[in-house]
Amino acid sequence: MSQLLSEQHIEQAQQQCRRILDALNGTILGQQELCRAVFIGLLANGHVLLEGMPGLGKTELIKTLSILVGLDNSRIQFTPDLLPADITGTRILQEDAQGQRQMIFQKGPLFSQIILADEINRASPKTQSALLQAMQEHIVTVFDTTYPLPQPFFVLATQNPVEQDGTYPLPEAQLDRFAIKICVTGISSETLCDLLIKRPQGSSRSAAEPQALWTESDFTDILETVRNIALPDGVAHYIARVVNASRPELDDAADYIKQHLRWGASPRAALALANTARAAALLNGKPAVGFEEVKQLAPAVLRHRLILSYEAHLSGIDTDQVVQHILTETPEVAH
Amino acid sequence: MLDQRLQQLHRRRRLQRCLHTWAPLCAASCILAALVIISVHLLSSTTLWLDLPILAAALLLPLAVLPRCWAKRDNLRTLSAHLDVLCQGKGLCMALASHQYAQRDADWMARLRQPLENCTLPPFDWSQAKFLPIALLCLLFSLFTPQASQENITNNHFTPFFQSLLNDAQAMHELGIIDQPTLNKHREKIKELEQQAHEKGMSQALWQARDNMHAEMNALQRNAAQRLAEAINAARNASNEETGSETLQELAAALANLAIEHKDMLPQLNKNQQIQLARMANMIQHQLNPEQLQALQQQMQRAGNQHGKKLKQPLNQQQRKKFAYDLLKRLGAEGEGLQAQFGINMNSLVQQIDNSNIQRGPGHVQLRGKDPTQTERGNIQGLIPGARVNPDGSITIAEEYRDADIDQAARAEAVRAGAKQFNPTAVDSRRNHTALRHRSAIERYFVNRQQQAPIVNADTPANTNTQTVIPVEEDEVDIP
Repeated sequence: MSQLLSEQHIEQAQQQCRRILDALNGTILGQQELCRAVFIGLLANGHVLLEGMPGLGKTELIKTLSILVGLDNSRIQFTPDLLPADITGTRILQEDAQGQRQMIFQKGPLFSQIILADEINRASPKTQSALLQAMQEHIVTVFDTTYPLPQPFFVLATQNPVEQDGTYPLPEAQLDRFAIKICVTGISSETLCDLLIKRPQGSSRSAAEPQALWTESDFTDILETVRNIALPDGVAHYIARVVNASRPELDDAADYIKQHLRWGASPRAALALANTARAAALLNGKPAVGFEEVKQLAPAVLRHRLILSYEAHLSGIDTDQVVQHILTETPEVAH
Repeated sequence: MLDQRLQQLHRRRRLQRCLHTWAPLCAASCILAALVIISVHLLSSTTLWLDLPILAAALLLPLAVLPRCWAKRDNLRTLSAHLDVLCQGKGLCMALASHQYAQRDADWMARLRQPLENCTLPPFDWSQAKFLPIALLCLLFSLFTPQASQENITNNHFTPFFQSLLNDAQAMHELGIIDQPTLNKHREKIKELEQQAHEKGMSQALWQARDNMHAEMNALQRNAAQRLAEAINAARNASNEETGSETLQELAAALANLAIEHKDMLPQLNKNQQIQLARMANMIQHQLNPEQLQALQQQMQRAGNQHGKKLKQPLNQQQRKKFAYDLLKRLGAEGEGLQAQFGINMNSLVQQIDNSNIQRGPGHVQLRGKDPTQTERGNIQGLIPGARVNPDGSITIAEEYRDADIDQAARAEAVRAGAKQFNPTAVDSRRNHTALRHRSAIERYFVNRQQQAPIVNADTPANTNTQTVIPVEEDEVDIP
């Protein structure tokens, strides 16, 4: 294991992150946990999927966050008629001053550091698949040319949980690309009252326009700091046991898992869990990941990667309950 | 501090691991050893020396797993993780433990110092050893299992064949037929036979020896039974004689006592009545068993004692006879209880005395004087059966009456007796009084009648034409 980051370094990075969180909480009222989780996902260099009812501030959150961290952002409103070229870009015929015509690749909204993919489940599978390569490899291939996406690159997607006409559920392959999935819940009555008083317009236009608190280099440094957060062997072993505990095809899988899961988490989930745990440890001012961070972030990391069985659907069991069962049954230290 | 705590945790976990491995094995071995010791004790009488080796093996063999458990070491990852959980290091303990002491950040170590100092090792987990005390107790109690004796060894197919002999010998000893040395000798012989059967199986010789022992014991039992019967008989005779003579004397004395006190109650007894009274007393004596006679004696004494006086001088024989009559009359009045208790009809006895004007001579059964069927000569319908005293003073307790048609000797005897007593033309008398020309006719007559004449007794209706009666010896009644 590499040397631990110094206490000053950790403290400095923690303060920087706290500034972002404070600013984010000031803009998005009553969603501290949501803001923290989204920020952790960002610090973990992963994509974030927000699921919740309309009007909960999902889009506003992502927009504000992207502004605060000083990264370029673009917003894509997914509709059923959206084509892949609409988000990746396409070649267009352009005539220069000399009158020569040539095909020029016109970049699409995907060429941004932070992509706000609104209502991603409304796009057709064809359009959704266009995001797969971008999210995983951070490149876009149009015709025969591959174009790298800017770094860092994040996709912060939103979707409504209610089944509506014209929606296309995300395939498991694409869901697995998202580091965390956060279920956005409503706000409390006090917060809503405060919102009514302070934000009569119901949007952040009533509040002060957020300013960028970081530069791109700051963000990059923070990402590097997160990568240097130590992951002890014991915690890594714990993450591995938690992820493998979700796999029903294993011989030593628990009967509960075999009964309620059809597919378990992949190794990508273990990587995501480790990265998000590092980000959480940094926010907690620790140079190393502990068991607490893993337990805290496991539901967000695993809930969208587990495929429930028919019996689980009949029993009304959701993935969060399965994840809690796994965390309960898996000891922190293997005997 | 971090390394120190890691070492402590390592030692604790190693001890715990050894305990978890050794305790169940030791408990299992103790239980198994207890079962083996109990089996050895119950099945064998000469292997008590095995207790100590079994005990040692049970306690020492599980120790063989300890070196392997002790040698097993926890890796740093597991130890640091356990310590991080114990001291709530939140990952810091694990991160610092993965570095060498010199490479550890001092600031982070300082932050970890307080949690490490406050960290306490977990207590020993004794859950795996919860059955060990019970197993040790079982092992201890098994040592006190009673040892099998040589006689209790029953794992022999042939033991049942000889068990009956042992039981018989024991029973005979308990009954006193054989004494203890004889019993021991029989036991040794039976055990020897059983041992031979166990070694070589049951052979014909062994079967024969077993049967011979059975026969010998049966013979002992028969002899003992015979001796017992003879002793009982002798005791009865002695007791009967003694009871009879003493009771008769006491009976007469009691009668005399009563008569002296109430002379006015006694009617005048003639000589015949006195004799009848004596006969009645004799009859009472012989009809009653010793218990009944004793009860009668007590009744008579009670009747006599009511008046509170005793004889001042012994009575003679005639006085006793005279007064016996009175006592019998009183007994008849009080004798309802006696009748109910012993079935004795005192009134009938008294009535017999009243009606006893006829006698048939000494040694004959008393007749009821007023019954014409009895008074006619040769009429035997009124005869009643009675016991007679034999010349030697013994009492006949049973008589067998056989049909004359069956028993030639009885028939001939009856014929001869009848002819002798009542038929002047009988064989003996005709030789003296019958003319020669009539003898053949008379002889044919008696031969014919001999084939038809029944033996007279109290239950069969008497044939008035028959001249045959039960011979009664002319014995004098023994009246003391």
